[in-house]
Amino acid sequence: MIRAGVIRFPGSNCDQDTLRALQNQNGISASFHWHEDELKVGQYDLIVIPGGFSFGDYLRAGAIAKQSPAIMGLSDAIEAGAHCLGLCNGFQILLEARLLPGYLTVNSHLKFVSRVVELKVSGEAFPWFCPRDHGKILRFPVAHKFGNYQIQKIDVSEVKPALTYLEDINGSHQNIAGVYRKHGKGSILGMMPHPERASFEDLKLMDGQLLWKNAVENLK
Amino acid sequence: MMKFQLRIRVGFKEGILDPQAEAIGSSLKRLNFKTLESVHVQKLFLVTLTAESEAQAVSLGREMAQKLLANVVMENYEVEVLK
Repeated sequence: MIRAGVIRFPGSNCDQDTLRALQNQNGISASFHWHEDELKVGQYDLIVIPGGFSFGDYLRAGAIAKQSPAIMGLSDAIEAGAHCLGLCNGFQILLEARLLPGYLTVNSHLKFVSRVVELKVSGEAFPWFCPRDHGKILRFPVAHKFGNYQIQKIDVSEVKPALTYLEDINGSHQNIAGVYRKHGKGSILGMMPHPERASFEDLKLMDGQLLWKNAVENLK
Repeated sequence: MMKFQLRIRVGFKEGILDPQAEAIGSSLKRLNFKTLESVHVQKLFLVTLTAESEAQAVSLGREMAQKLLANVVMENYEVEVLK
């Protein structure tokens, strides 16, 4: 059984959806992990940081959350083999913790963007995207104001774009929606879109299941 | 140990997109401030702490900025001693 932990902060609001999306997959056993609890090396195979407004987005989105015991132990857990997925605010936290390069700033049009967008899988991101998924078009909801991803220069030996918007929705560099890098034996994938909101039949939007199904297939 | 008050300013680095400052700038222009050239938005933190010396107080302030108050990937900071 693949063990997944969903890290919860005060202000997380996509935690239930994320847990349910993981639990719905045969082969994954998912549970919540409170941010104040230390993350032990080898405790989880998958670590998901859900969306929301951790600590009310005080100071900067993700700035306070990066100091929590769970995030402080994240780098070691990933190096030892865990695969981490940061969604929306989770992506912001990974950038603040410098586990991924670049930064997110306010959307170029200054508006909160909340709608379903089309995305292209632009690279392999084991275990979430397989080489066969390259070029695949996915539809995920986005809901953010600080999703404008900027990076000085992409050093592809360090980090790769994993997901790109088909159109410019927030001013992100090269329309990047998500980036991926390997870290020790594990990996880190951060993205602004919400695959966990595209994982249930009742919402008629199911493309998010690709990530959970791939994770099961690749890690079992 | 002495008590010090620090003023820590955090603002975007040169060249970082700051649509908030741009929006404020265009709003000021609309109010007819014709000679306006630019607007920068910064965050200001007033921090009171105790330290052995002024130099130590400044160095603690710099550490606070680096570790939390600023995201040094996109922001600069300045630490000043007020008293």
